Amino acid sequence: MGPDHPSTSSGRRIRLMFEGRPVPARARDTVVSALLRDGVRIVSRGPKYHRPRGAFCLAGSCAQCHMRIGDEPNVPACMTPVTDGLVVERQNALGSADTDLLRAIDYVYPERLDHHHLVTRPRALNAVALSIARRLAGLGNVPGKELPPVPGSMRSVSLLIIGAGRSGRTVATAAARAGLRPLVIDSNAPLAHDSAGRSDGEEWRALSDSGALELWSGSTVVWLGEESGARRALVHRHGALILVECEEVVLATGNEEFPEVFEGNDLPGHYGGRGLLRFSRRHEFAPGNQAVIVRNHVEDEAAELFHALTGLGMQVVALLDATGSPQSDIAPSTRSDALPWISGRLVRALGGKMVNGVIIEADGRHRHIECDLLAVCGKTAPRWALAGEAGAKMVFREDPPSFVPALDDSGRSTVPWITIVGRATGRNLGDEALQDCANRIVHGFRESKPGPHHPDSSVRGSNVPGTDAPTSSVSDTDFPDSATPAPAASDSLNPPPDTPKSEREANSS
Amino acid sequence: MSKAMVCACEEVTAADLQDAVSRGMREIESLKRYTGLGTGPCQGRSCLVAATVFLTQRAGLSTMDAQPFTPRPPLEPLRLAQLAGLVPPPPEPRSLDTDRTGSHPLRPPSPVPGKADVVIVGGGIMGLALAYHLSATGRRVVVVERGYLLEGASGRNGGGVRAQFSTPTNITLANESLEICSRFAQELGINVWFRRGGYLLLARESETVRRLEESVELHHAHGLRTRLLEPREAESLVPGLDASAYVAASFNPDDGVVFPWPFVWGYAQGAAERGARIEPFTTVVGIDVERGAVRSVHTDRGTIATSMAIIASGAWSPKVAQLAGVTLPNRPMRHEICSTEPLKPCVDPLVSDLDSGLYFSQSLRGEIVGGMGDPNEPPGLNQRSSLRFLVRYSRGLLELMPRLGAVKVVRQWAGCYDVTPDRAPILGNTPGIRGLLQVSGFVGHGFMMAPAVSRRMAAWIDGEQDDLFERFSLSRFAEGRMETESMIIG
Repeated sequence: MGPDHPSTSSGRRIRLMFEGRPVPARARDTVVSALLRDGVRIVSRGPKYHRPRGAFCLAGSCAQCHMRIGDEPNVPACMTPVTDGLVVERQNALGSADTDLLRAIDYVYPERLDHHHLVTRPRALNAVALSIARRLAGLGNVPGKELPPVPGSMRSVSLLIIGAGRSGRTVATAAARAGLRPLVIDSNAPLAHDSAGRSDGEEWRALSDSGALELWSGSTVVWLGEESGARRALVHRHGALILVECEEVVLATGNEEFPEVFEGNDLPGHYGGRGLLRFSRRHEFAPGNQAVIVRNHVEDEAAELFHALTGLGMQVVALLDATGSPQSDIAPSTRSDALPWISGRLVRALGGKMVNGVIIEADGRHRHIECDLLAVCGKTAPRWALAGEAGAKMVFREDPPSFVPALDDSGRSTVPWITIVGRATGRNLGDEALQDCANRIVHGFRESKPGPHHPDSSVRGSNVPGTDAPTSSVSDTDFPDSATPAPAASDSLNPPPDTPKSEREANSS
Repeated sequence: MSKAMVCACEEVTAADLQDAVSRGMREIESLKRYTGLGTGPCQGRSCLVAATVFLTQRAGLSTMDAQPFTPRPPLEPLRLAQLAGLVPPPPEPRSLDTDRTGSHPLRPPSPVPGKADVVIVGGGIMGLALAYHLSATGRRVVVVERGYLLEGASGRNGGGVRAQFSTPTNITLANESLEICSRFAQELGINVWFRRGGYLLLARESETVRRLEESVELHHAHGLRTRLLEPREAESLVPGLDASAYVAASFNPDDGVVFPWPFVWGYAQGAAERGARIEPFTTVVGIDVERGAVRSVHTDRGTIATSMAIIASGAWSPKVAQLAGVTLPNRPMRHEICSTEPLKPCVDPLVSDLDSGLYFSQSLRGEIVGGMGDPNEPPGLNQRSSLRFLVRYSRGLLELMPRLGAVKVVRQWAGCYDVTPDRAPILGNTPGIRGLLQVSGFVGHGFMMAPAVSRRMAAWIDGEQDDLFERFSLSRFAEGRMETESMIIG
């Protein structure tokens, strides 16, 4: 009986109060995982057509699972840990969210509702339309409790590294060893063990404990830019804000899957493939019985997801490959004769209140496949917004379609104090190249700083493997830059040499 | 029901994108504004790439030219109470001009028309409304806009429309605009979501109270229904408003708010239907004056021969006027604004604290949209967002409305006020240059004044007498005549 059993170690049961009804939960559940386990699929309604909505990305990226939680509207339920007695409600429905009467709008306007030109004449009718629109707008009522200002704080650091996935760790390790004492911020919990029990948390803990680096896990940078002469990052940490002033920033924010556009893509039961893979491993549960997996990009997530879902007792009825690449491209560790491989493309998802099938096109004809879970392993794009906020130039790349930062040879963006590494660049550097890149960044940073650095010898002397990505990249929570789960063979780094030569030379000078 | 969502936050479908493209939206900023995609709580993470692919495949956008929409901080929704707990960072120490220079990357390859009766520089609400009225009589009008429509203040303001001013002229103009707003959907066929929730002006200082009292008398003389209120009465209009934060208030139930963007589309569409040419992504690089009269306007897409050029460029007006050798006294001043998560109706009027410059209202989508002026803001064409504003605004708003502490800010942006020495506009002829007309300097209320001012200016150009264009002419500064308006918000 592990910590995931629906009772805590102290034996007390955890229950959500979902619209007045108790829903049992496990200690590591989020609101979404508890609701899905309980069979709740509709967690919200669309703002305009009131179509039923289910949790989609399972990673806090989309807004489909926004619910009223603890008397606060529009809270991402997939990121909210359960606590006993937590009050959870669905929003924006007339009657129950299961049978929202306002769904009629969806039926009255089957093609689209053109709100710009909706009954502009005559004036009286226009006035009526406006007053109805006013009443229908808005997703939640004002929060029930008054929240007084939450005291924030300020910090000043020289090197800020955002993201502690594979690339962020590589740079952070090099910087820590060089005595730069970087502040590393990650929205998740890189110190924790992953679900396979592997962890590089020990080494990180050593670096962190010795003060060679400072790690803020569970923290998000929500604002980045230069104003009144200072380079600032606003960090959301444990419910409060910290204004960090820094000299240089390394962005290792990784990439993210973006949703594909097809009819019915907003039906409950359709999930982002990457999010579902992590979710199913973390919670040892998948919300459905019969799955269709769509492989829209050439990485191995779809095959991994197949193994994860079948391992949980689900039937995967089709693995639809839309990339045109042969099955032999899948890494040997995840390749399987059991893969229900079909070459083709997804046409649409079917269903009323949730997915009950898909139409696919294969061998030149349409086929209907029944399923109650659709996972699309979509293409990925760099997380660009922080760099963009700070004014860095982006370039559109066609394949895979994404905006990637314009960078010079050393990874510097068009904003000179921001360097971008890893998958946030839209490129996937090999281990050695990444290590070189990290050394170059650290070297460049030291060059630009006057005065010698005094690396902490206890850290330098320790054997710091540094950049191992956790096996299968699935940890307790997401790592932004290790966001594409891949087998250890292709995604982890060899332990770097103790201290690179160039760095030794730099140190001795 | 067969809908394919591109933006799930705002339920924008592939069919919506197709419709927008068929209406001429060819790049991401226009597509975003017209369809609403990317303006929801996910901050455009989910839809940007799909929308860009759509534009490159269906709207002829070159992949070389594709750019993401401007990110709108914060990256994730933040509670007002969290922001209010920070110490505001210092202001920019000196004038900051972050304006783009040179041609727009999306400048069309085709030349502009070689001849026009009127060239209007600036495709904001003022220029487009003028184009709509001027082209009614068969004039060939060309509107030249340096960016996308809505790139300037017309796309960045809070959408307030009020008659509560302190001068008879402004009250009259605003009243005309309110009337036009209430019929705009019928006249131009597009919804502007005009909602008459009133304007509630709050005063903390005795001097401000005195100004309110004076203007209420003036309002009554002009037939407005403005009332002076005790703090308790104001609180009953806006539940949650802390009555201890101010000493008096005035309220006109007939003021209101609109959604600003459709005005621009409506006037642009109306003008185009009457034959006006609207040329976005086109930069004016010169204005030729010969023997005291306008001869042509040079753009980066060719020269337009004309005898009349109208500078309707908002905060850019001084730069444009300089091309004709004219110095305007206007200065651009950044004003910032932000928007929260959408909430069910909870605030009816637009509320403004006249002493702090803070204002907020609830949009028809349910967001609390508000801004706040900054006395330490240096002048400059700067449309970037600052953290300083978010902190100051959050503090100010929670002082007035403590119950909003857990409400989350979703997006912030900035635009430029066009500030004149007497805070009154510059209208009409330019001394010494025949055919060069000015319509600028509205100091934050240009959007609400545009419907009335443009109509009157078109009539004046057609020969109607209107002393507005004498009294507010550029020459007043040289002649020492000032037209001071004291009720400026922000």
